Amino acid sequence: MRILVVDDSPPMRRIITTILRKAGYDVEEAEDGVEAWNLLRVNGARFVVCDWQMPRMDGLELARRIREAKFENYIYFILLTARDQKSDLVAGLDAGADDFFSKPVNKDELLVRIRAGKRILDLEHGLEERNRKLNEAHDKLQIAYATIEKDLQSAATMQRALLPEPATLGAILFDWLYYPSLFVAGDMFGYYCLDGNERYIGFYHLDVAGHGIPASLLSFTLNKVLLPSRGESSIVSRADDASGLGSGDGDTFVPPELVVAGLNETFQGQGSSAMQYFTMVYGVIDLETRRLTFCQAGHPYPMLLKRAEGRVNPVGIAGVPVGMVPGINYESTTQDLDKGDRLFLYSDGITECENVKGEAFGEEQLRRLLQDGIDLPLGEVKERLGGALRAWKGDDSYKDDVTLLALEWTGS
Amino acid sequence: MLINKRTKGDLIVLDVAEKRVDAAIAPDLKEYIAELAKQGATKVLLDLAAVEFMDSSGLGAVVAGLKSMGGRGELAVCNVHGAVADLFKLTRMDRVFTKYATVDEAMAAIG
Repeated sequence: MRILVVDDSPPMRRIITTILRKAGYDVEEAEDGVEAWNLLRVNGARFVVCDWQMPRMDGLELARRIREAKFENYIYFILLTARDQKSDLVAGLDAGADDFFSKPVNKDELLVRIRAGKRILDLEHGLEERNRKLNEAHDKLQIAYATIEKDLQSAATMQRALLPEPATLGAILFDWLYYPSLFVAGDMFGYYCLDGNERYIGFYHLDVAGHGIPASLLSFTLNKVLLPSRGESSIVSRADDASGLGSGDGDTFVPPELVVAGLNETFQGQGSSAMQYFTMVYGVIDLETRRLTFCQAGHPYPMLLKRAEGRVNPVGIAGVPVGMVPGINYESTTQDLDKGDRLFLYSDGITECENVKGEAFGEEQLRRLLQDGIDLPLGEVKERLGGALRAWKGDDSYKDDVTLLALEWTGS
Repeated sequence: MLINKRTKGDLIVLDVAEKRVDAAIAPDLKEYIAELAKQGATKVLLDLAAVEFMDSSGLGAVVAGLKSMGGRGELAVCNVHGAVADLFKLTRMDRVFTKYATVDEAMAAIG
């Protein structure tokens, strides 16, 4: 350890320097505060033994400057003094001295005080080292976090791009709400023509258990799997007419309960991991017969508005979620659609959305809101639901994905 | 996660002493049952009397627990009520595992 000894008296400097050198310390000398200050700024000594009264710059002023300069490493400062009055002690401490040593110099006492100071510097050094490492780790984390956030944002953009635009397919108007909870969602939905004759419309709404990245990865895959592929067989449509249910010109649809059963076999979790599964509704509308057929697998009961009855009611047959256990048979429900009838599919992110008191939004509140909107355009009903949920939650940071897919028979 | 375990003969009764079985405790619950299965448990009864709410992760954990018992084991539930009963109905869990009204009823049937 290097010690800077500051004293304007050459004999006193020699006494102290000799004691310290004999004890094995590396010693530098300065004859007053100004010289000491210049040395400290270039050579970085961390220990100063300094006389109080000196010309040009005294010990108090040197201590003050050192504390104000905020050196990267702490500098331990012992003030040498012939005085032993309390007011001097206070002035010295106030200026930034760590310890005092009174003249005449006693060798043993000086060395004990130097060792005490060294212990403190060692502690200080350990802390500095730890802080440096913490800061490094913190910087790395911040960079990693920024990268993840950027990646998530682009994943969110890609996921949004998968969502179909609100559209009218044949006589059916489709519209939706989509508020993912963590940039990306485990909820997904879609709608499309299943056959070349544009007679059959397929649609689905699904909710992968959990949310965030793992759930969204599966929802990306399902979005692809559930697309009809013209001229080829997919899980929702067949190129031949083997089912006997098709239009007879080539493409035909797979009945909803078989689509869901097929997905259930395809997406069984690996090993005993039944943690990743999804709930869904998959449906088909025959534009010629006006018949709606859908299959529900663990998903909330769709809400059906029958305009003639003036009421919104939950409909469907409950089923086991998809990907949980193999070998499940599913059942479909059928309904005939008339002008102005609507079907709403939604995830439990809506009904389980809690207000500040921890109360869930609930199925009945949703049903009533949809029923109250019976004479409003579908787009406005959707906006009202969005507003009601935000008001219920108090802000728009949802704990679970909030999505709604709505369809209306707009034909005659 | 708070679980009280009792053994009655070769039936292990797990009293899930949590109001909410959600993403926060689902992995622990799944691990707990998997560990019992590894130790050779063949009959496990989940007592859900204290559970008021179960989310999709919680349901996944219970089914994963059942799966970890393998073909030889049985995982049943009892005291299912309120929102959990609604969830079980919506997801047709009656087709996945046996449900008993009470611990005594389960004891009489499988104990």
